[in-house]
Amino acid sequence: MKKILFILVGLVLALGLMAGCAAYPDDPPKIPPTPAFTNGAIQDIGNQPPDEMNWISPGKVNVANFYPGARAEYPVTVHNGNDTACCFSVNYRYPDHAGGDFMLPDPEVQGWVIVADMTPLLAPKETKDILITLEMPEDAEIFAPQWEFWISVMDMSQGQVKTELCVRWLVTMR
Amino acid sequence: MKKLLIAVMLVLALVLVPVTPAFADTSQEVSVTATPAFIAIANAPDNWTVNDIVGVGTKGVMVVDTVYYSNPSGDCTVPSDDVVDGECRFTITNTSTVITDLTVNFPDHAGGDASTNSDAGTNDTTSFGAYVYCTGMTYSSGKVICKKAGSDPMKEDLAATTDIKWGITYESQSDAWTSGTPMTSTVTITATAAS
Repeated sequence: MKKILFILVGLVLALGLMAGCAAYPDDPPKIPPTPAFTNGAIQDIGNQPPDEMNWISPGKVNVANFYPGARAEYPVTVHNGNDTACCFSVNYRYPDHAGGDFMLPDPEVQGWVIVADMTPLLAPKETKDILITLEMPEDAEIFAPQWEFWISVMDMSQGQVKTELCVRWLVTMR
Repeated sequence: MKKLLIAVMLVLALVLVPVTPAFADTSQEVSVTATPAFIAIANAPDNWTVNDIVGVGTKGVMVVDTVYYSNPSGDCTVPSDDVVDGECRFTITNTSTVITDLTVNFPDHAGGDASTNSDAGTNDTTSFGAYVYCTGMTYSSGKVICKKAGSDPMKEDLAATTDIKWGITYESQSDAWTSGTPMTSTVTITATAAS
């Protein structure tokens, strides 16, 4: 009787241990909540952006410890320096070149990037945050340990020689 | 028997209370950080009609197999080594707080003969060649091929709050025009934070 009970105890212990191990994929790490507005960060540098020019912030977003199934988000702040309301385009952009050890992205990366508002209409001198979300599918393959893509912001009211401002997203896989 | 009961109770407690994963993930969480900075760049003017600054032959009309420059000193005047401000049509006003890279792309034309960008800097029967240059550059060896997409930077590591002037070199297609109507393209200058 004692032997049977001890065997049962051992089995239950083993099952409990296995249940603990199995909990790993069900609990992916969470990223901290995205701040509602990033202009505070701009004010921190003590150099105020111009009111009368178009500008974006930040210049670079660094994502570290990224992995298939993970999500990262950060807003791009867009300012309309024009005296009239303007429509901007905010889009994923395949980089012209990548910096340092970062590789150009796989074409499928475009499908992993969600722009909350791709054609925001900004009033004169208005500043607006557009949330950018990077969501890598769980079954996606890691094509490079470090890679880069750009978020393009363009004032659609420009002429034939346009200015495009881009945020560089630098992604490091874990 | 008492000991046995205690042992069974302990086991039950272990099963009912969530077990701490023995081999759970010990890696770090995803982190997202951004440097507080802004990129503010404006370009003027926002247009260029080839052969329309001074005009060679018929002003504003482009002859085939000819190299044109957006050079206020002359539409067919080669910029000097080193390029000076007066040889550049365009001005970048830069109030960015970070060091930036500037890249220029020149897509294929639409309308008219719809010349395509050769992406090689040189022309061909139905394609044009393009380069970009900027102040301080050694034009003969430093000009940058302006592709339809994926060009190399025209200017790397432009200091924060520093303006710069720049221009375009355009070599028209070698074959005769067939349409007789204007063609256009949209040149884009892209600013990114430097590597």
